[in-house]
Amino acid sequence: MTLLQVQELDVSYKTLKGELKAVQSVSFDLDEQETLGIVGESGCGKSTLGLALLNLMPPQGRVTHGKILLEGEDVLTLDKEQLRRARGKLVSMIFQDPMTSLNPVKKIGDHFVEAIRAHYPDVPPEEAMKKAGRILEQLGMSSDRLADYPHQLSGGMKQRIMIGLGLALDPKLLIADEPTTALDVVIEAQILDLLRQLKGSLKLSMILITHNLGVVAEVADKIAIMYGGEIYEFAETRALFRKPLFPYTQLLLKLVPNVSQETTSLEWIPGSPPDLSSKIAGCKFAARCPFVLDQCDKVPPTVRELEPGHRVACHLYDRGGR
Amino acid sequence: MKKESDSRVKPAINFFLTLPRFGTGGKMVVIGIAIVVVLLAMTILSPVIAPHDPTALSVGPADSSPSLAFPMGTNRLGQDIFSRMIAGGATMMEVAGLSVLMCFLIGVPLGLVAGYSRRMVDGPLSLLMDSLYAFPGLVLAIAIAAVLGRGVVNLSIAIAVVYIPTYFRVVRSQVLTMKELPFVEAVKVEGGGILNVLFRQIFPNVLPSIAVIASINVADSVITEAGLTYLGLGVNVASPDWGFDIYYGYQSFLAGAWWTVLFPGLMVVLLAGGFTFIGEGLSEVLNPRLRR
Repeated sequence: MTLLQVQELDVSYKTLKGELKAVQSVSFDLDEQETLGIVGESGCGKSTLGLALLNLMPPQGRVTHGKILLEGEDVLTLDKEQLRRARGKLVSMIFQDPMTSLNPVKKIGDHFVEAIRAHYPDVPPEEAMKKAGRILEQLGMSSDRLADYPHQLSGGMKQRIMIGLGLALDPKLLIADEPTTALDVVIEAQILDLLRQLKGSLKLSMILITHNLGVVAEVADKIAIMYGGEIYEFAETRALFRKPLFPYTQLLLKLVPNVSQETTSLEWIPGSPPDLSSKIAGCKFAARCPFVLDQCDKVPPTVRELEPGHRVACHLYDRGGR
Repeated sequence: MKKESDSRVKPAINFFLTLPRFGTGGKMVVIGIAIVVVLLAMTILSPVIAPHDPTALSVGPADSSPSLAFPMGTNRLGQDIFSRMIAGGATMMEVAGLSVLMCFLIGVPLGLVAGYSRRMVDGPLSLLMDSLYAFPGLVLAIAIAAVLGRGVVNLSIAIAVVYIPTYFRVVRSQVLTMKELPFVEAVKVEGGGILNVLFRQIFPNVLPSIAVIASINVADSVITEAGLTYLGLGVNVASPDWGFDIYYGYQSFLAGAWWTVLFPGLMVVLLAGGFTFIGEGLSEVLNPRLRR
């Protein structure tokens, strides 16, 4: 069953230079118990998209067009109180930096109690604490940790706590915005492993926002490739890795360093991501694309479903396959 | 309920028990607390332990030098200086405590509100505090004390006004950095009101720096009180007071009776020093950047 439907979503920021379109006509569906990976480089609008799903944009940001249907109800039309109820209970979010997301003078247990009682004021603190203990054990930590202060935990443990807090109200959808960016590689693997386990045991839908293809490859069922605020390719993980269609995706996969090959230097994609405050008529990737065609600069490509579930927006496929 | 109170009190006790392990800073705090506690106990118990009535005249010859009968000598009126030293800290401690309480109750909330609000509130408040800050402390205190008149409360107000800007500035600057942090924003998103954000989330984080300022502030207000009393703006001429004794002993001092000024001076230094030790030590313990 479809849990989340995003339709033609535009998000823009007011800046001194004028309007900046951070997200443009993004559409996708997310089924229950499905994990979607949103991949893109810095500044491509993936975090903005994540925030927009919870209507958490900063004051300068605004959804200018589109719908976000969560269980059939448009998140953007909810009032403040309805929104507050939905956050945490229906959808919750994990942010990049666990270090500053916890109040340094509150014990871990108090964080849980506060989160649970903000939504269910009738739950006695002892019961909330018990629930917190169960969650910690699910996350592979001892419930003794509830009595600790945040500074007594390592970065990885703090991120586990953040995940635990996200799960405290049994949400149906968990949005994780680069949950492993602040962590080292070993801890990153542990956290990803944990997310994968939770996905199975809690029947949870997830949206994983990252710039790391390796991360989504491990956890996600479907992947959306974002560039310049738009989704250019959308496919199931296997299909995407087996046969990437959009040139940017192809390049990204080619650039992943391969330990079995003898290379002396890392490869990269020349150029830099587009400035979203200027108007770009055609495909955003045209300036860096090695297969660029005449119309790429002028006409925006339309989204085509080349194979079932595999959508791409690229002029290379205008005549049906390359 | 009992368990709850235990879990709140225990960390505080543990903190003090582990203080000596925090190196120089921790030891300073312990020494400072010891000095202050001894002086406080001495003052409270003064009716019992003072050998003479500190206000009684002519218990001995005027301006007699320290001897076995009068260990710190006597002053012009023949009062026993030793007894006056034991009892003379009362006003000073009352004023210091009350002024710190006032600073805390006024400076901290104002700092919290100014740091959290936008220009409309923050601007005027900061301007006011900065103008207060621009005055030399003692001069401002003298002016206010002269206007308000005598009394423990009036003197405390005079001193509090001088030190409120210090609290205000420190709290405000900390709130400014803290209000942008994710854990504060999360509470706002959850629907937490301004009172919740300021007092339940931010305030506990600011407390350590307030503790440091408060203990340094007590030391300062002790000296300011002594200064005001010396200048004749003190609480009551009749009650024994170290600051007043310095002022009163000055003429005898010019005539060679050094003990009339030395001992009250030492008492003021001891009390102010005790609080300074606590303050400096705490700031070293609580501020990891200063800790080596």
